[in-house]
Amino acid sequence: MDPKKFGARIRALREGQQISLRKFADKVGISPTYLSKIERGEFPPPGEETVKRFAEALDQDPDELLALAGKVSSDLPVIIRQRPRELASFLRTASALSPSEMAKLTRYVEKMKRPT
Amino acid sequence: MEIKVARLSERAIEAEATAVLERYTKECEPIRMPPVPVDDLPEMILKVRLEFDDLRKMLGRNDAIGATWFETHEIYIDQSLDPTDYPRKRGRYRFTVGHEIAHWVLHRRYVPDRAAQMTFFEGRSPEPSILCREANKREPAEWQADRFASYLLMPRDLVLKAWRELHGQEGPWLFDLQKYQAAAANGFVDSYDAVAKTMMNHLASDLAPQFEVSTEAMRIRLENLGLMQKVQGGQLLNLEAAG
Repeated sequence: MDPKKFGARIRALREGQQISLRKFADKVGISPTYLSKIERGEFPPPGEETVKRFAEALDQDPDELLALAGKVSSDLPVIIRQRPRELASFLRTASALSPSEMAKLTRYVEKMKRPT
Repeated sequence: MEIKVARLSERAIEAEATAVLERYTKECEPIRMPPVPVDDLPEMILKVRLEFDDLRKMLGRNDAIGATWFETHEIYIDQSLDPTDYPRKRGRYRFTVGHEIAHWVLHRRYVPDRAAQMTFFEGRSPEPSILCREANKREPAEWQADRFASYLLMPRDLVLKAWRELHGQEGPWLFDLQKYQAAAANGFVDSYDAVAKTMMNHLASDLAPQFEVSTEAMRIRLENLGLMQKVQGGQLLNLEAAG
């Protein structure tokens, strides 16, 4: 995980949406000094909750920003631990799929979840 | 470092500050009420980044509060002035941002473009184009930047409006120094001028919070607008202020 990559992505998104450093820092509840240093890669990406607030403020997918920050959402380990064998095996198998196959599978699983 | 700049009248400096605010009104939104969104100005209309860091450590000077790099379009504010971490420094912080914007707007033209020499470097030169310390207020460029910051943070129209809301259409408040002479003679205070200053600060402290500036900065602006004037036995002392 490269802290510069995460910071640069946040900065590009923020500037693209015309939000000033100060306004964004206020919005996500951190100090502008902290934000300035995160964006320049001087500091590592912040904690999960803050990354999620970044995602919300920038209208981005939280899991994607978390991955860029070298983290996974804390609900995932919990989910896996509930059914360790099945889910671990499922993830290992599914990880070999291409992005389009993965999207197809997700849609299929969502359909299965929905009561018919 | 001292840079040589052309002399600028108060009026010219005010016009430059007003022009920046007008651009913000045109490109972003009108500023109908104080406080002026001073820390949005660099990124939103000047295409300059606003950064915070430990300038004292970065530049090896323990009195550094602001620095501007012209070639990379960056303004750095020392993190000791961060308005979220240190809310009580908010006035100082905002004035420093206004001051650095002034260097960008007024003084960029006087500093040789280092970008040409920078092709061999990744990033920027370690030395800023302009470094602002707590003590170099006597240099003309620093004085001009302070005046600009004052006009930027306390635009004439907004101050006059706020003053009217507070005091009605009343004319300027006059502070007769002779009244304070007795107190000074008793040795209770340093000088009657200092007493007048304290009285003026009381009045300024009513308006300073809504503009998010220090009481001191507001007092100077109100004097400058002629809304508070020192008099000696009815004689105006600061004649150049009115206007």
